[in-house]
Amino acid sequence: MEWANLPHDFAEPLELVIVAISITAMLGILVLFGQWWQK
Amino acid sequence: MATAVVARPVARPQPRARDEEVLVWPDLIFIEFISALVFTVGLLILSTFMNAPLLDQANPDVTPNPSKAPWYLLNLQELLLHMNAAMAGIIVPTVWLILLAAFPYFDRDNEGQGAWFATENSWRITIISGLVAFVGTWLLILWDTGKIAYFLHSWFGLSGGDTLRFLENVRSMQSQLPWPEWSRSITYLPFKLRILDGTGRGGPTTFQHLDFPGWLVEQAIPITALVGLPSLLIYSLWRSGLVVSRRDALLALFTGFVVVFGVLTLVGTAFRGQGQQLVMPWDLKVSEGIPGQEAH
Amino acid sequence: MAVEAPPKPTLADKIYDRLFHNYVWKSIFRTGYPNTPRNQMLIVATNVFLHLHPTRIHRTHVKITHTYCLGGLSFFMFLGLTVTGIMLMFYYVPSVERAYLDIQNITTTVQFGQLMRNMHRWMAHAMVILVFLHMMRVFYTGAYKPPREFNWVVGVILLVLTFLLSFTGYLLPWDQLAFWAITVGSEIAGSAPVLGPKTRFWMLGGFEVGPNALIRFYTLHVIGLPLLAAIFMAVHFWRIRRDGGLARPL
Repeated sequence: MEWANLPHDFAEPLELVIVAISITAMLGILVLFGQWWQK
Repeated sequence: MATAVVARPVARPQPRARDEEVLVWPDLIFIEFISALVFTVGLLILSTFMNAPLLDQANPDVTPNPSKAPWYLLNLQELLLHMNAAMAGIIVPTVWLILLAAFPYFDRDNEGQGAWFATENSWRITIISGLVAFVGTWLLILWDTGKIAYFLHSWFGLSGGDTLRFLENVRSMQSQLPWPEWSRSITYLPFKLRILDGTGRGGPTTFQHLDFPGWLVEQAIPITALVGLPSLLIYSLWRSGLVVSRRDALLALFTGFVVVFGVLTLVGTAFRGQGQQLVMPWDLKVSEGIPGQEAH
Repeated sequence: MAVEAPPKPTLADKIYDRLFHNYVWKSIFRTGYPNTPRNQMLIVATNVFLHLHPTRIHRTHVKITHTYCLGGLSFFMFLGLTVTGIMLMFYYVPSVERAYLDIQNITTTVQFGQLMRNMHRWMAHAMVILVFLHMMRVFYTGAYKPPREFNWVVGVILLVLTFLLSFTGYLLPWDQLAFWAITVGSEIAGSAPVLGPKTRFWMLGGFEVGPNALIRFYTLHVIGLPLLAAIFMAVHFWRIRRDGGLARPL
């Protein structure tokens, strides 16, 4: 899938930023789950 | 006999509070399962939409510009731009790791353990030291890349001219001040101490002669900043009454470290372009270094 | 007072009985289904994977907002990296002639190769970040205080091992990004006073990044450092149990 490649100039900063955002989002989902499941 | 002569206090685990406990199965196992599931699914989705980069095959003759270390070492590479290589690359991280490992031996008081920000001023200390570290690190980086002098000149028309040029960045203290010739090579040992200078490269000290302006700029000023600024922060927090215990001091130090680490990594990743110039992230261009294709 | 006769077993009950109460099944799963407190405790105490946990845990430690599962997630990332790493190892040879072509092969020809490589790289970044966040959590909850001091030191060692694992893995694709990043990294290592150049020579197996460096980094990355990390993780997890579980307010 060609479109999944990062742009050449920003490959490194982008990969770090996107991974960091994903991890924050996933931890956020976990916290929301905890608030719903563990009252 | 191997028994202790003096009874020294040994930390023992707390007794269990059985009426406050819940069963691990299912309460904890379920949470662990859900977190593993969320991360697996999340990373699978990320892996579907974003490919790991693969550039051209390794070629020792072609150097991309800028060449950067992996992102978790970019904070060290950023430091490298501001001080001597041995300091930035080895001494600072080693000293910091040893300090980090020594934290629990400095703060042995059990007060406030087991909960987030449980001691009285902990939240305020964290916020203040985080902010100070953030702003301070940015200011230092901007100053040392000459951006503050440039900013003052182009926005306010202020310029120190030639007399104040040595304040533009740290390195200009070495080149712009009228150092007497003898200070650039002060002999302090009658023989060359080769064992410490295995690199054979120059530096402010070659373990026989001392290049005083170089030493000042590459080692003295950075060490003063790295040791003095956190001490100043903790001291002022102590004088203001926020920092009361050893734990508070460690809070300020650790928060400061985390924020500085983050800022250095951010600057190294997104703000350093060709020739390690400070650029805005959207102006970041990587030249692949292929001869004949430099204009990118 | 008449006692009600027990309900007659339905077909579903009989099938369940045949499947889950037979000799073979019960030889594998020796505790009953964990729907009673006794069985729930037994299964945690007698299962090799689960007996990492105590059977009961303080109720504040189950809340996600206490630990955010960061330690567990770091370990989970390690396991995921091991699995994806083994998948990648089937198709990768650490020689300078083959390495880059193997990666290209993995990402184009091999079924799910691109997915495995992507997972491996993003999990690697995630592990470094999660380990760092875990250290922050332990610090801010004061869980390094006595008697947990040495466990914090073991944790710092694990942090360094995580960075080293990531660093050694970074070189393996043998592309420009990898080659020059490791060159810069080893230059930094080589600038140490006294032992710098020797350390760099020992690390790279030569004066510059080349075939020796590749095989060295490969060996460290796939077996040397993971074994070390596993040993220190064993110490780390054991100490948590020995210290009475996670840190609690006094």
